[in-house]
Amino acid sequence: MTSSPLDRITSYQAVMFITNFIFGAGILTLPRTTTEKIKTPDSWIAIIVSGLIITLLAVIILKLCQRYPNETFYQFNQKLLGKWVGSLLSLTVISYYIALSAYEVRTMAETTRLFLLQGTPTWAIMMPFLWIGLYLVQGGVNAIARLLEIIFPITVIFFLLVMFLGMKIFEVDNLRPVLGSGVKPVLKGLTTSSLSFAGFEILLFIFMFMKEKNKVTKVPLLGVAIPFIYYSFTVVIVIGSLSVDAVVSQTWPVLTFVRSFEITGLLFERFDSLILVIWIMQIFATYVIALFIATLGLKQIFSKSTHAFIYSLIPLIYLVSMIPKNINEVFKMADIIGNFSLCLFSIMPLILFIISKVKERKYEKM
Amino acid sequence: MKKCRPILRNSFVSMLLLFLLSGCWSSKSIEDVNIAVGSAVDKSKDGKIRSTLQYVIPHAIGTSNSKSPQQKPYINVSATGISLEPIGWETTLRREGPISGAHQKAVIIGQDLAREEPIREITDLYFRDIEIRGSTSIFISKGEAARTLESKDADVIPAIRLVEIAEQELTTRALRHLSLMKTWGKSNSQTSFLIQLIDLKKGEIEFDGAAVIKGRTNKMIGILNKEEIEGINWITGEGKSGAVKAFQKESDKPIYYQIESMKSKIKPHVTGNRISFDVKIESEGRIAEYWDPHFKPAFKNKTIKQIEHAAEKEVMRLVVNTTKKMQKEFGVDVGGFGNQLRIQYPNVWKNVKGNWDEKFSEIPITYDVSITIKDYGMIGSKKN
Repeated sequence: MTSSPLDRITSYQAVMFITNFIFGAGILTLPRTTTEKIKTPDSWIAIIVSGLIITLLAVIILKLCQRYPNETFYQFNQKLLGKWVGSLLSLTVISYYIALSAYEVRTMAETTRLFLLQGTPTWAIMMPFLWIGLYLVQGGVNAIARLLEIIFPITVIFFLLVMFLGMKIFEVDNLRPVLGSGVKPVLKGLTTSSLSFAGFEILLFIFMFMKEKNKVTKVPLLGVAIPFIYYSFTVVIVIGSLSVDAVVSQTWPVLTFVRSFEITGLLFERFDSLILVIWIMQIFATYVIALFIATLGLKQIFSKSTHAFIYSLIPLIYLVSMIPKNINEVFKMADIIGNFSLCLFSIMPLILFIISKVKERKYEKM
Repeated sequence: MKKCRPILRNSFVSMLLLFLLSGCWSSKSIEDVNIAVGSAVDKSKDGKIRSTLQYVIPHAIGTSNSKSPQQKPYINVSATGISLEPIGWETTLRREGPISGAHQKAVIIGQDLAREEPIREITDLYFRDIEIRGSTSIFISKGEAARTLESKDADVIPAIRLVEIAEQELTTRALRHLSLMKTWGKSNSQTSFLIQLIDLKKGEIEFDGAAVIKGRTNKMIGILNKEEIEGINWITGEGKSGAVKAFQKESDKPIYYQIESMKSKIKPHVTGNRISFDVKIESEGRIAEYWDPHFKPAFKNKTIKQIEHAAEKEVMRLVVNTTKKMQKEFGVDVGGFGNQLRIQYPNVWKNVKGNWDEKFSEIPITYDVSITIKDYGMIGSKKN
């Protein structure tokens, strides 16, 4: 069923896959989405708590995958659930990834149109993005892994640099009091903050490609920990600089934050274009991975050549990405996708894990 | 022949790709764009809004003395309307080229308008606009705002001069630099706050006092003078440098204490229903000027203590005076007291935040000022 010469990725590359897939368009609105629910400056606590929960889920996924080291989720779910239910589940997952890549492309286009290329039509922004992604996915898992290795340090270093430069307008008072209204608001915000970690399930699909398969618990741990540190850092700095009352009113709080200060004396005064350009790479990574997983799924379900699927997915993604009519619908799309992913990938791996344990026992008895 | 083909084909494709390199999709030539660096919003005579935009004329900067000494490096364009957006379009009927707000540095609102319309609404466009940045400074002008965008100096762009004065934060007699973004947070949480007031003296701008913006209405309700700003800066501890009078009797000759650092800690106390504040102010600095003819040498610690004491008394007078003004005259909290209560007693804050400004005017506040003179410069004593 698998394609002939298997690409392999190292553990480090697998970490890159998880981290880059979690990072996406979500971070640009993260401080607002969490604060909207929580209404106190405690969003960062919610991020930390949900980060820990997600880490646990990612480890469960790893344990599940280790039972089927040479198969992806699309293949082993048929063993566990039967051919029909399995295929149906796989198709659902594939459509989820198509929707996800469509959303990423759309958000990229929206922010670019807003801040960078104001006169350029949306389709003209999307098209090179889609096509380059198509080219990369044809290269297979290894090509993607290498790209991720290149863009990850660039995005992280620049993003952190810009965040630190903004310390000028940071006020600790905006983050206090800590837990002033108790734990309750934080619990309310947990679901929204967990949404930002959507993408941790990637191990289900790439585990098959990993060189090292035993003793790799550090892969999901590290893969979730990087975005987790990164997210809490962003939320702390943005809320600390803008205050809770300002954050909830901003469409793109992170971009507002970057535009709220100017550094004189350095080579550049302003960093908003820089951060957007950098972040587009990160959105691109998420889009490419989602596209890759979707094509992988189609290929494995129908056991046909990949290329036809990739080519047919691109126009489909374009069409889906154009469904939201305005920015509110784009945000709604993000909500739906995030909620769906959270429901699906927090419960399903656990169920599959239990089923596989039960089946194993049965065989042992026989 | 067959070998050549891919090369031919590839070079043909590459040449086609050259056309894509021709430029940006919607590029505008920088000479055609009107780069707005400042804007002034006033109430016009017929009750509408009058907005003045200051455009930079790039070719007049630097070369002004040689070629055209008369030409100023800026031009002000204004128009009238009921809000800012239509006014912006109106100005394009008078001067060629689109407006770019990406380099907007300062927004000045006329006092008349600030007293009538909420700041949040006047500045809405500046926040919403994609080009204008949150780091833009905001001011209120005592007189007509449009006039603060003019200067007699040939090579000065008034909007940029304003921002440069504001950003240096040299003396405690001016407010700390305030950006649009910071006012947004405060307006949104209905907190009262201060905006730097500017005035015209002999045709040139001067930072003179602060406009008090009431949280509930978000409109300007009054003015604090320079001395009261000093009080505010001592209460918040946000000043960076400046001087304080360090003598008591009017007949005495000047002695001045120069501030090197200041710190303040506002501590709320809640017992039952009663709220009170303790403010602890600390400062370190040196003697900057000492005229006294009956010179007591600064080499002696006793003299230093006396001067410290006199400066403490003066600071105390400043803060008490400002507090009185906040509590009794305006009935607003612009010293950040509410913020400390919010942080340290979040549950109490929830109950009082609705009418905090009214409640604040009844609350007892005690101050404790301590000043340390570290040195006295190059002169320790005078020969008598």
